[in-house]
Amino acid sequence: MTPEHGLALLLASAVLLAWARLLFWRAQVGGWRLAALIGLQPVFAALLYLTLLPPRGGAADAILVIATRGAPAFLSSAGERLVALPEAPFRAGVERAPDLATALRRHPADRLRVIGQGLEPRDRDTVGDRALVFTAPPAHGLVRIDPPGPVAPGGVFQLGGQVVDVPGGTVALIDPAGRRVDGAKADAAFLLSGTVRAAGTATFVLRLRDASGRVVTDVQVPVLARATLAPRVLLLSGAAGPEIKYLRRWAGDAGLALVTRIAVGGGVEIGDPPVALTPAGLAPFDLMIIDDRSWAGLAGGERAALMGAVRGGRGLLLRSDGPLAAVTRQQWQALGFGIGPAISTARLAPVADDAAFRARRGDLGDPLAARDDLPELTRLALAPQAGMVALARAADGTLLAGWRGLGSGRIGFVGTIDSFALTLAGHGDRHAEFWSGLVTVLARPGSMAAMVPILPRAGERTRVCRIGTQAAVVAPDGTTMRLLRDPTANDCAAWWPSEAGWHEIRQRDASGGSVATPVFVMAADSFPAAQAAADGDATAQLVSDGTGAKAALTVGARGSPLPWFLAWLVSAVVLWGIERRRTAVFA
Amino acid sequence: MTAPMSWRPLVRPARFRRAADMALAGLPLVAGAAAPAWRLAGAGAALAVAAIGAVAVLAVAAGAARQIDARWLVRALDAARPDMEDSAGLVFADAPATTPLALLQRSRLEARLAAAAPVDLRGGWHIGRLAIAWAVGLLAVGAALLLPPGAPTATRLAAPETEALSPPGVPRLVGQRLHIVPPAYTGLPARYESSLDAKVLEGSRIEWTLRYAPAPAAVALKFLPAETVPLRLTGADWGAVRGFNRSLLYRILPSGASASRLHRIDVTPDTPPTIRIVTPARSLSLSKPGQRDWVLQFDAADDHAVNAIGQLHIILAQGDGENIKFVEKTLQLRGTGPVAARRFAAQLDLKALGFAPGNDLVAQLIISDNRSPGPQQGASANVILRWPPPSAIEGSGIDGVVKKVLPAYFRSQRQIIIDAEALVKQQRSIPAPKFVARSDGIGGDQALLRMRYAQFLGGEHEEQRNALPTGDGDAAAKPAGDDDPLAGFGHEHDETASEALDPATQATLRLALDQMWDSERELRQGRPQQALPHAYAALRFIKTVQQATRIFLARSGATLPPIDESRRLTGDRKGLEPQRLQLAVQPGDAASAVVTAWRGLAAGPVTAPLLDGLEVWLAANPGRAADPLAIAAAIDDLRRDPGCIACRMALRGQLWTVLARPPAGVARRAGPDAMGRRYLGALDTPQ
Repeated sequence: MTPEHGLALLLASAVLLAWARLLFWRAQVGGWRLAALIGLQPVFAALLYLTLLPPRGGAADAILVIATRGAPAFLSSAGERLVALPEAPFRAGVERAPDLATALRRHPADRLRVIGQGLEPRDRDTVGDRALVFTAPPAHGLVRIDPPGPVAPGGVFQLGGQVVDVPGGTVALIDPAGRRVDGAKADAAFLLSGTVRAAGTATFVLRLRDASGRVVTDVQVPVLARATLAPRVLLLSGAAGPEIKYLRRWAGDAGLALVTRIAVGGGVEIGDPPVALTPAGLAPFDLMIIDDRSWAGLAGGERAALMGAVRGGRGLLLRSDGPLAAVTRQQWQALGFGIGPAISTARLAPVADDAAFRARRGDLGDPLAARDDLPELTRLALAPQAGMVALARAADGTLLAGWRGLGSGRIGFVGTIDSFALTLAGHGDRHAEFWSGLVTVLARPGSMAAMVPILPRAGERTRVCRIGTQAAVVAPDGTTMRLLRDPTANDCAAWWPSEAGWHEIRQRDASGGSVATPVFVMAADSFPAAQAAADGDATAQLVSDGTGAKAALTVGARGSPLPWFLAWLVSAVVLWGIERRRTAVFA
Repeated sequence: MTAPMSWRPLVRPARFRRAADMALAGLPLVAGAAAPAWRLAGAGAALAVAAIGAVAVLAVAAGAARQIDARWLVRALDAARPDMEDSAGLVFADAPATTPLALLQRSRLEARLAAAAPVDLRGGWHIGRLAIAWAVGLLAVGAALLLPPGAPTATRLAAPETEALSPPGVPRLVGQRLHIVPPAYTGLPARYESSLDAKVLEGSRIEWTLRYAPAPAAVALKFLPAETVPLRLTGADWGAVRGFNRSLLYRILPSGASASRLHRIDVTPDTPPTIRIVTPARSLSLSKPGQRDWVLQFDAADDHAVNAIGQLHIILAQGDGENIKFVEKTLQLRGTGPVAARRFAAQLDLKALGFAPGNDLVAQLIISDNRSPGPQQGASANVILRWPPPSAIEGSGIDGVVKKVLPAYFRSQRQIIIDAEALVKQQRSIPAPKFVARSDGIGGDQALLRMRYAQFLGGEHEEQRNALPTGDGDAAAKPAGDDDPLAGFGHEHDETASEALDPATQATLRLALDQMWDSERELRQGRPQQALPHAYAALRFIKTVQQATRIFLARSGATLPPIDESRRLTGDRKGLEPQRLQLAVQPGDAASAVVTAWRGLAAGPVTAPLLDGLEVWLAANPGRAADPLAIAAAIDDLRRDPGCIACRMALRGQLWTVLARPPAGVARRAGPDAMGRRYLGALDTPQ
């Protein structure tokens, strides 16, 4: 029961009461006066109702034109009211509003037409069920980048993006020293990669040039190299060999906690102290790497324990030192890997050019290694299958490794047999990248870190989730701001960064220590094409013809109560006059 | 009545001599004037001066020559020839003679002139004048070469790049100039530089000229890390001179004012000369039959000048196998062409060098540039001329050496056939015992040859045959004795030979050995006629082997620990136990000062210990930074203005090139949240 209904009921009952009083207590009054009194009561009540709740304005059918950032300079046609939001270019004679909500309060409308590049995040919620007409302006230039997530020190990161309508353009990734590390043609979507050095933040630059070599856009790309708790890896091998030797070397240098067991026949093993392949024994590990000979030698209980560990969230990487025995191949095919019997060769893709090759390796790489003399790797054929995700590919696109989920864990298969040849050919960095990629994807995930926003912009509301108590954000200039956590909303908090650069979100971890998560905030005016594209996309999703909102159409602003009040006053005077006169007569 | 005789042909030599005399004296003077003009005002001015001077000299010479006319000739003839009787004027008179006596005398003189050989009327060279003129000219040219080259801006000081505002009374730099004098051997002109940063050649001298207003009490140049050069005041300008052999950073320290920012002098070192081999096209060439000489051509290039004399080192390697003798020889070559890119050519006479089959002739050119002091040398790659020996070895692959032909002793099966055929021919003429003995001798040769071939099968062939029918086999085939118990269980392999042949060739060789056996048997029994078909067959098989075979000789590999033969294959596992593997982790520089600085510079104000630590680290690791000066400059900028964010980013950019890339590690991926876990769990639940 709405207040309107309640008021109407109240007034109706008052009218009935008045009629009863007139008829029963004042029955001596008769003639036209009684008729007038009875007739005027509902009119009086209705006028009081309208005074208290004046009817909604008649402007509900009007179209309100909202000028946003990048709106063209034109005048609205007749019958449309134009309101400019603060981002719209200033034009004399156009009414301005601080936001869309204010504009709608001033000029109620159930239909909106948005011109310009689209509504800001601030205004998108205000649209509600209104009909909205919007045509995104054609995009141009670099409209999207997908910045890389945190990488391990020394690791490789990938940067995706999209360029629209720059014929003959090129994109290049520039490292902090100003050297080009990768490049691509700027047609549609592109994927670039680079390498990081020591742990810490680094700011790369993505540079878009047009066909004439002029720089169209320079965008700062934040890259965070973070040393996390290294995964614990169990390496089971049925024989010693160079692949194991160089895998151990990489794992040791990369800081992995590696437990190795290499069978050398006759029940003799070399490596680390034996590990029981039981649920309890496998519990500490994040990833198990096993070769075909060890697999074939597993007892039934051990295999079950291994699979159970995978279901519980751990990773399992299957590898081999040669063609698989038929039984093993069938078992691994049953796990979802289309492994062929044939052995063939493949090569990894070389870096784009020599300068990028040197810049990526750093100045301490093997000086004799050439960019494109990558060795041929021997591999077992792996066919793509539904449900299997590619982990590594050769230069010609053939699958070298893949993984699929099992429970909360992941099982992977790597087809290369002699990846150590990379190291021997002077490409130890590629060997490390290859295995780093495999282990990163397959190993049990680390603890959930704070979920930080992707490329927030200075001046915009920036939301960070999964934060702990006493979280604070430190701006580049050193100012610290406490974040108010909302436990009912996924432990999220938000703030409005005022300046661009690397911010730090500091919070306490479980042990009481301080954990800092860097977040890069873009300058408000950088990379405008992407902002235009994002605003346009978001506004385009609000476009509707308003049919689902007929009920809301009348919910315009209420009109002025003043005329109704005057009418009510007149009717009250008339009623009073008639009533007085009747009293006077009887008196 | 004849016309007067023309005097012009008679004076022409004298006129030339006088003009040449004048011109020779004038030319050094012109050069002496042009050289200072070139030094002071450039080549254009020098050309202008030379052209004007040459025209003037020619005009003077022509004027002097024109003074030799008919009157001069008459005087000269009268003086030189008594038979002219002082009346040569009659012959060359402008006005024709009228008197009969004069006519008569003239005709007599003309006859005498025609009859006698012409007199040399040319004057002598003016040796004294020429000497003086040449001395003056050479002195002027020499002085001009010593003069510092001039430039139009020589007298003006440039305004400093930044007009820093300073309070009144504090000395402010108002004028600056660098005068850069490259080392003399480069032949490059000195130049002026209006900026305080400069790129100079190694060994250059730089002279600073600075002007301050108001004048400070003293000014000094401070070179990093620790060297101070005070500036001297001459007139209104402060000046100093310093030579540069390496790149340096410096700043100017005027007393009573703040020090300037760091300036950079980049020294470009003189590069050693480089040599490109033009001929032959390949480093190893084989001599052609009948080749008598070897043509070598080298292109030498240097950034300034290549010394015209180059040394050609020639090494003649004679001999084969381990018995190789080297003969070394050095030739002087003279280069042609411009100084910066000379060409050296040589034609070696192979016969004179003693080049013979199987020899290698190696040549290498060594040249030097004109750097002073310390000329730098450049050496070409070696070029080799090889006279192929009868059998060549070609190297290929990584695990073996391919020997293309079999050794020479594979040839002597033919000799056995020849001997056997000869014996068959002589069968009737020699007695039977002797015939059998000679046949047996040839059989012995056949046995030796067979055993040598059998080496290539690892001796395996020996055991597959029974003893000879005659029972007189060689001693090597004796049964294994008791002192060698292992011999009963196996046979020895000759690694180098038995594994040198591929299986198909081994099979062919085995057929050849079988035929040799049969041939030997017949020979030993005194039947060379019956032995011949087998011998021919053996020869045919050996030919096949020779044509088809590539022998692989294994290179020496890893030396494995000796096998304990007493336990081999016995199943005895006593004492075998799991072994711990150690993995020595290579320490990266994750904890070094450069990484600390890289992280520390990312945020917040910069502290002095951070920069100090970085400087210490850079000093301790000099090879890591490609451009240490740039890093030093960036550190200095940051020290002067610790709050400068752009300076911080610039230093970080420099450090990025110094940071080593550790082996790619593993970043733990973020795990699924509660909803993700439920989803994965639902997927895993059996239907």
